[in-house]
Amino acid sequence: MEGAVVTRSPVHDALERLDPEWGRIGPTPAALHFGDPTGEDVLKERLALCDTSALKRLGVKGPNAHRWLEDQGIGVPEPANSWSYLPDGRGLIARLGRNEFLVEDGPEGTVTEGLGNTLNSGARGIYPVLRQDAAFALTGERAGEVMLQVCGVDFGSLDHEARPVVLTRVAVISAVVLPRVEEGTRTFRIWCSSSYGMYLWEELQEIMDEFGGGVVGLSALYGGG
Amino acid sequence: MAERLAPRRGEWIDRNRPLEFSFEGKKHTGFAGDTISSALWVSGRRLLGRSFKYHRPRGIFSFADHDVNVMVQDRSLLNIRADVTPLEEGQKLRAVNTVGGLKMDLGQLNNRLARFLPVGFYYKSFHKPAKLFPYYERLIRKAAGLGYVTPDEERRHWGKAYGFADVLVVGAGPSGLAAAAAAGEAGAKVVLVDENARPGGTLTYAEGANGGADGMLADLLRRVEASPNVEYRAETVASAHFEEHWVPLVHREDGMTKMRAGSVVVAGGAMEQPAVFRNNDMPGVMLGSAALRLIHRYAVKPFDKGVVLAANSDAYGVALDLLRAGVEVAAVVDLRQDGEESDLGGAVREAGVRVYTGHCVYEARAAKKGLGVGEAIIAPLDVQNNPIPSRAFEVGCDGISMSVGWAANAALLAQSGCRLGYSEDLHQFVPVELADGIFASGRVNGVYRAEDKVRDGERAGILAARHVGEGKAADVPAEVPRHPGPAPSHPYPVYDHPKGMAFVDLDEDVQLKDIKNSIQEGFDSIALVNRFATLGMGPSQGKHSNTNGIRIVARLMTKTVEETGTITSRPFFHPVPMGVLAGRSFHPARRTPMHRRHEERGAVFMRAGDWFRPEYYATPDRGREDAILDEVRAVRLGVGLIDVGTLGKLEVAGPNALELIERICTGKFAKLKVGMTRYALMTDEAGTITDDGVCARLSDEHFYLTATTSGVDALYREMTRWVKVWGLDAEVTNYSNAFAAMNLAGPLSREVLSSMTDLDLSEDAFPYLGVREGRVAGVPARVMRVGFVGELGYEVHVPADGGLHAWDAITEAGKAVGIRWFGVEAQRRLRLEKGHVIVGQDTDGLTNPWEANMGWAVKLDKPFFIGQRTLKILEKRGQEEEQRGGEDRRLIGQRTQDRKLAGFALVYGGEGPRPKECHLAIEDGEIIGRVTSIAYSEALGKVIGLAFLPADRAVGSCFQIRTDGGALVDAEVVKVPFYDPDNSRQKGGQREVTYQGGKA
Repeated sequence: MEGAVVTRSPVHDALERLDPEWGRIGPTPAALHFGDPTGEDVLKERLALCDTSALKRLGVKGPNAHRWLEDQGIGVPEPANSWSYLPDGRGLIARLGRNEFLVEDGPEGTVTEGLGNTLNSGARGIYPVLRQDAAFALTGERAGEVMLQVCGVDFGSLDHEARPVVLTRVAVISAVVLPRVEEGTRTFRIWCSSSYGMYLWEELQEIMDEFGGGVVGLSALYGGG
Repeated sequence: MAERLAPRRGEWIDRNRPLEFSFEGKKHTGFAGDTISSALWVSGRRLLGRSFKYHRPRGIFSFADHDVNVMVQDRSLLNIRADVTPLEEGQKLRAVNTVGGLKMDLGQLNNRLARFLPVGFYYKSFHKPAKLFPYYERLIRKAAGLGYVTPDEERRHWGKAYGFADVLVVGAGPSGLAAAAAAGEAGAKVVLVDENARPGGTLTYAEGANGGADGMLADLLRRVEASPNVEYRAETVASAHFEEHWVPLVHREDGMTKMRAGSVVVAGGAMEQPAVFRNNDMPGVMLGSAALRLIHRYAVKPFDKGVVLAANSDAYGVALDLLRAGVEVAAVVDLRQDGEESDLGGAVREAGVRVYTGHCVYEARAAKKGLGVGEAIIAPLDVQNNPIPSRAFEVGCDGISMSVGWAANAALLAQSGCRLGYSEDLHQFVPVELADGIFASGRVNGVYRAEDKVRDGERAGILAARHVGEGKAADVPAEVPRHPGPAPSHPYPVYDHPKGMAFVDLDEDVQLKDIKNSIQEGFDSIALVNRFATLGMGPSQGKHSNTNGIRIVARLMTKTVEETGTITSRPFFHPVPMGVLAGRSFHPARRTPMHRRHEERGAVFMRAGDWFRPEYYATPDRGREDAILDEVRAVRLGVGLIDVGTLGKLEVAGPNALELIERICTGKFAKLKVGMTRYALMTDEAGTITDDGVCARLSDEHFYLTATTSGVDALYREMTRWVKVWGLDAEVTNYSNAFAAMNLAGPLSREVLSSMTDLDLSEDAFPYLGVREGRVAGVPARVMRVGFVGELGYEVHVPADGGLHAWDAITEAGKAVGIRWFGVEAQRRLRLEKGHVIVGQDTDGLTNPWEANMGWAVKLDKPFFIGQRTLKILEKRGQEEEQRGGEDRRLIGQRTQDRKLAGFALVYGGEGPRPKECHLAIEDGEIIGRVTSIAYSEALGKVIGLAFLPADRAVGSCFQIRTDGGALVDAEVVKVPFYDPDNSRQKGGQREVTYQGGKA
């Protein structure tokens, strides 16, 4: 017996308890909405937490990773610990060090799939990294206050024009944080180990409750249904 | 009688918002904006607390939280500083540190026994006779605590957040406001904090009241509010200073902000200091600044008829404000022979107040009815500042205000590394040398006049902004000279009395005579007096006592104050509630993708580091032991499934991957074929076992290495470090979280797995210790044939997001053959039957491979591995011993160590006390080792275990194990593996099993 493979977000159970409207990204169920989309838009402006774990992502590292990505038509951010958009304008590529990259598609993106197919050919100095992160987006005008409760980095002092990526600790666990401001809305993208996913989700949710925030679906973050 | 004064400009209370509260069971009313102390005082209460040691009656004293006379508890909130804590509706307050209530406090007996409780008495008592110590201990513990913990109340959580600022300004008085405004205007991001409910500092009660500063405060506030760079936080205390300008900001409600600032301006002002005289702690005796705060902020008349003790100009301002508030000022008693020469002195005289210059308050006496002041005994002073009691006289009053001097609020300066020196002009400590990035302004800097403080703050603010690279263009104002004219502080406002009770430290009931006695006993420095007499060791940390204490010690030791030095100011200078310190606490928890299924099946979880692991699955009507035995039996006889996702998993790839593996592990891997695995053991430079696992070769330059749950992070760190150090072309990736893993084990495991994988599981195609990549239940998987539990088994590793799918599919497929999930405890027993070692449980921080019977995994003849050098030395020593020792010490395992991990079985049949892990092995009454693992084996029908024993203990030799309670249990050394000694089962060659004496 096999059946169709269903993969799951590390916080699937927490999302399920909130009774979302489900969609699917590849084999992974993704929570698109929690109730009224208009309400989610309001929440998103104030303070919202969104599970983005279902987005497809891929890691690549090694001394030739940079050149290989460029050969694939991916604009690679030059400074270490910075990020840029993928060519489709929805996904992103984050440079996690000199030779390590995290590539993440938007909900309908196909960049990682194309890269993955090429990557598996086993080229020298390029090593695929299986990314099984818990990935969240914390967004809204009070998102910065929530981050101050869990992280010792002064995100306010960073030059957002330089598109920084910060490898730090959030709620005492290791995490990658990508702070950005888009159309006036502040968003923190957070990636952490999937095993800590539920823990971090619950911690962030508890703090968000204190700040009047709530959980929103992937559609609130990326639009569409 | 105290009363609420008519509404006054700038008062902090909201008369439209009355608040009801109770104190010691009696209802009272105050206003929003009142502090607890002001509301109690205006309600006519004078007895607000009891002192720590003698339980003496206490009232408002500093009214600034510089003493703890009024410390109360509101249900679960204990040790509330009533002076500065806002009144709230419905508070149910009671004083701390009483026995039977505030009024009838049985602790008052201590006051009568005071002469028998001299300084340090508890150091010399309570240790004889020794048998009474438990009684003493209970007594001391009961007496020592303040407040009562109420464990039944719901736990309250305080927030804890990080904060960042270019410039942190501590204190929102005139200099702090000016500093914040200047720094903000220079472009720096400023956080301005003040412990009070409103900004303004002395402008809200002192200078403002005496005229001329009304507009100053308004101007400063306008500037601060106009600056978008300045964030003001009221009721926030900068409670300490740590390295790199890390300052914990504490707010009563919001909790702690861990503030990291680029520079810090300390504008905390000065704390008014009391005079020392007999009964200076009596309710009604208070600092002049306390009286002014009552009047100006809370519209409370401090007393009806008062005596003002003076040693500076401030006292005359106090006298005038008391008069304006309707208080009859019976006398101004000026310690100075020349009195006050400024206009203030003239104004007081013109108001008809009697001024006694060169006099002191020699004693406060209680009113005939009540606990407060009834009269002040006033004595002239001789030219040496000594009172002349024979010429003393009394003045009736119900209050004594003291304005005799100030102490710089310089704790943060001291903690930041600034050097303080004693100014003989000001009679206070002032900063002499500032630390990098620290700036001081205002009274803490010895600058007292309001307009000077503003200029001083302006200068500090600009310098602080410049320190962080802002405001380079702004002109730096000239340095502001310290206070000109007569010193604002008296050099020695201390007046002895033969009957004592002249208090230096009100928190700890430290009297003048206690300091004298300390020095007589040989504690002849301020640091020793501080400890022996507990001077400054109370909750207010010497805010009102250290200065006088230092002066007294200096006088008694015939030294200057500068020579005497200061008492070290340690963080936290301001006491912080434990709940705030704890704040929001994070307790990381790691879950495998199958966690939900474990919960649904009734798993009893255990923690392995941050991980949750099922110890066993609870079964109705089966206890823990039976449930575990059921799980063990299922694996031995059929098939079991365990979640091993917590295992460490590392991937090593690249041209030098093999080289790295060879250097990290003790074994040889060069000849390991692709598609095969090999046991991997790691040691440190000392040859001590650090971790173990399985190394799988996926291709020539691609390895997959497992490690222990708890050891993998350290191993990964070391490997990545060594890659850099050795300059290897290899990439190490930690996949511990990326892969879910499950071990399908038991004679029927192949049957179950074969139904859902594209892999050929036949013995030839997939032999024991093989590794294959394929799909399991449609999920990409790495499958390893392992034998940790001693049965045919497959460890299935799949991407974490597909873990649950694979687990469910295997479980479903196994239903037909009765698959059973098993937990960590069953796994431990299964491996124990095989004699397999668990690193960290059966090894310790000193165990080398030979001691753990793993010499077979060490290849000393390969070029290099970490720990090889040490292990070679050990081997050489063993060979030398062998040459000396003769025939019976031939085995390498006995040559290289004194102890060895040995298998044992209990001799008894299971009755009596059961030994546990870490119980001691005993022989002839001597300790010879310890148990590392022990459990009942149903397959063998006996209790078996592993223990460190002397290396020469042969199979068949006996020893004893000391159990809990001391009972000794007999054990016999036996051969390992206990079960299936030729390993045929895990190799898939045998399906029958001898179980409980029969075949299954």
